[in-house]
Amino acid sequence: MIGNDIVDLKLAAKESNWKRPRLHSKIFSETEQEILQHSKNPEQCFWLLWTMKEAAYKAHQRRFSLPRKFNPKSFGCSLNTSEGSASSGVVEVDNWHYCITAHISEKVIHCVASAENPEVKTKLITEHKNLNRELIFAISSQTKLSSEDLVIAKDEKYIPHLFFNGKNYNMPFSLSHHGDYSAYAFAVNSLLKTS
Amino acid sequence: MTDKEIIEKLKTIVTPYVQRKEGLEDFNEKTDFINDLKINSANLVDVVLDVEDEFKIEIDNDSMDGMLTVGDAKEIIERKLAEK
Repeated sequence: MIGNDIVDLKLAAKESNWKRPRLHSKIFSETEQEILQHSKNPEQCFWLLWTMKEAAYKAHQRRFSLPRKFNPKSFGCSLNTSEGSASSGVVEVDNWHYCITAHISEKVIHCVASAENPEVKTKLITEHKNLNRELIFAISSQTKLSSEDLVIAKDEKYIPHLFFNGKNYNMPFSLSHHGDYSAYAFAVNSLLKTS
Repeated sequence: MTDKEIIEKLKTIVTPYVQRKEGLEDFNEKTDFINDLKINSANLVDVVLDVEDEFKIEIDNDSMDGMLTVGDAKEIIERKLAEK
């Protein structure tokens, strides 16, 4: 299962005041607030933790087809390693765990949450392109299915699904867009199984 | 406070975070913060904090998790005001 989330740090600085009083206690556990306090770059750390929660939320919601909820504090983050621009961690919700891979630069953070060890294919797009089309082309080139027969549509829970000739392909994927950046992530092994 | 007054105050609170301004033209209980108004999820926390400040209430996590539409927010505000 897969979820992803992206944050354009320049836009985030405009849209949000990450230092706002009471904000941290609304969204972060005490452990997470401690991680933030000890961070050398708290602003980046704030958005890393946030994107981890968002990515895990998307994976969790899709995995169990859950109704929408706004409960960032229920998603508990822990960080394992941080090597250069890549970080890894785990997010736990209701005793379910999601592995996190995050790519961090000065401009953007992209987080992918996964469960059940999918082989993840992901792409960060910096130009203004139609993200749905980009994903369809990527899947088309993996599967040799014609891109014209593939359609992405959201269900009543606003979870996007991929349809092949009108039939739900049941492929775990996730799309995220913020400011100048967008990204998709999908499970390559799910394609091999179904095609 | 009447329903109408609460909804008017909510409209004022959310306006700075709305990315799809057409969504404000028909602002009613069914209006969805994320899908109709395109408020980003980080700003939804700002809405919660602004609501707490404006109505002098505290919105706990269990209440916050169901705050997806204007109607949801209105009901939570009414409940918290009644508890005061």
